[in-house]
Amino acid sequence: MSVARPRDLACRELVELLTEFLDGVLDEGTRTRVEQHLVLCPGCTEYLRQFRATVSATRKLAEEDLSEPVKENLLDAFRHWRTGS
Amino acid sequence: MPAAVSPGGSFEDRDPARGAPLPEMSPEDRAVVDRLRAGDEPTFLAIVEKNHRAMVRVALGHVSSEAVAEEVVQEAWMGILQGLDKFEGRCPLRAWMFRILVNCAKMRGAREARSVPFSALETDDGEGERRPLETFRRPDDPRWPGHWAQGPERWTDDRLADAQALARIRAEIEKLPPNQRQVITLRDIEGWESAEVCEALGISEANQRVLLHRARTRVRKALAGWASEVAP
Amino acid sequence: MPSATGEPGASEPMRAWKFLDVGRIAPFGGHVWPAPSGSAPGAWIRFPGREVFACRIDDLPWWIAPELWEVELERPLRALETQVAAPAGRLLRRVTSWDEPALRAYGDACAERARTLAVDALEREGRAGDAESLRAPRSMLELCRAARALAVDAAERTSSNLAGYAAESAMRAAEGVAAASANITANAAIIASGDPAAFHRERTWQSRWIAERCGLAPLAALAV
Repeated sequence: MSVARPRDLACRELVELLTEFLDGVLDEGTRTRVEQHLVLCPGCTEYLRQFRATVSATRKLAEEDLSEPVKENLLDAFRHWRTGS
Repeated sequence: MPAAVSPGGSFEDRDPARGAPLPEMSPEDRAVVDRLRAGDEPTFLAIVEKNHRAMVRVALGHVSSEAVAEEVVQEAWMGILQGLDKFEGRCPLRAWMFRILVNCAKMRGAREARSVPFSALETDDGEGERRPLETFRRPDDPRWPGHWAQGPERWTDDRLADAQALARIRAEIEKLPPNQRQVITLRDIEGWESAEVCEALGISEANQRVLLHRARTRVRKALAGWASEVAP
Repeated sequence: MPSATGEPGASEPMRAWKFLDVGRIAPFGGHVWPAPSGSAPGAWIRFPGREVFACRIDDLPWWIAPELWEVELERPLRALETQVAAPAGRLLRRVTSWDEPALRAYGDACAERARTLAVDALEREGRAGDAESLRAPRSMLELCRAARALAVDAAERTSSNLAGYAAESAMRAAEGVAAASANITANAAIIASGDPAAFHRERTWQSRWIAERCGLAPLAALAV
């Protein structure tokens, strides 16, 4: 038995391309092959959905947690720099 | 099917990889630099606050503990202020700041290595968490080698909406190898453009993307394992 | 594959088709195509530095999605192997005959083709009894079961391999994943004939099926 179209993207290869895909840096031919594969593969479609959801959720981790003592220290350094130079 | 996207906006709108070539000093940077040189404290505090978390995480890529990373960040600020008079704006202010930070962190990390042996950072997946059951078909499969044998279990739309999910993401990021952690922090947490991350960390775009991909892949996998734990 | 031929002086928009996800959402970009209102077309959609893509009839099987729309594309068009690119496009009308039952029927039809390929191969290899057992099942699930039983074959005969494809195609059809069913069948066609060109012949059969089911007139003018 032999694979009908050995050059078609396998799922294992596709998942490795997803960061480039989302960054928009794949060449047109490869991007098209990724999209064509997604049309016919529920597994990869779900994987991409999870990948995107992960990236979106990660964004929510952005926070500022600067403690008061650190802030005071840095402010001191700033004032010192301005008067010192 | 595709991940939820805000109405009228596309996921790729940001197009982070297609940033313009780094410009001459931008008007925003110019304004900030002028105000800093004039001793404007609110401006200074604003940049400090905005970048603090990212700076600590990047410093953590080279030193052994969060406490040391905090010290490195403060040292870096000294260097940034001292260098500010000579800053010409050939790269963005933020990238330049982080270059200084990375240098401080590397020097401190090197000193630590000589005097304080610290254990390799954890890289294992473990913690007794369930691995997701996803598998690929073997290379000798007759019809579909490399295709999903068992595909990823579907996530409900609200799976990542709560604080527990964020905590899981944070925990997994903390366990990443340092270079992956730096890149995912700057790209995905802080939302930096690809070009600026490369500039700040001194790595190539291709290398940056590989690190980002590995980091994201691990975080997704951890979430898949976690999600399958909480599945009803 | 159509060649790019210019129509001298042609500056009117071209018509084509577009598959979208539910709610007029572009499957990969995630943006929403503006809806037509009454008989007025939807607003033009365009992105600086990016193109919109649409289908000629022969392209349709590659891009199966829940909604099918007739669209207008702004020139200049760029002909690609399985789609057409344009600087802008707008929705004209929904092809309402492409609905959930049509999608399912498409998947079933493709699985039936896979069954035929396997049955014919079984006959050719003198496995009349097995061929009959594959002809018999009426539902997709039954077909899947029967075909799967024949697929396991220590001798690795071609007819058994084709039974394997038929089982997979029928399973996808039963699940409602018509695009997967169609792709599996197109792959099976290569194995059945030993000819890689059979894939595209099968795709052409699939595009004709969709065009006929939905009453899509070949837009003869869509030579680029």
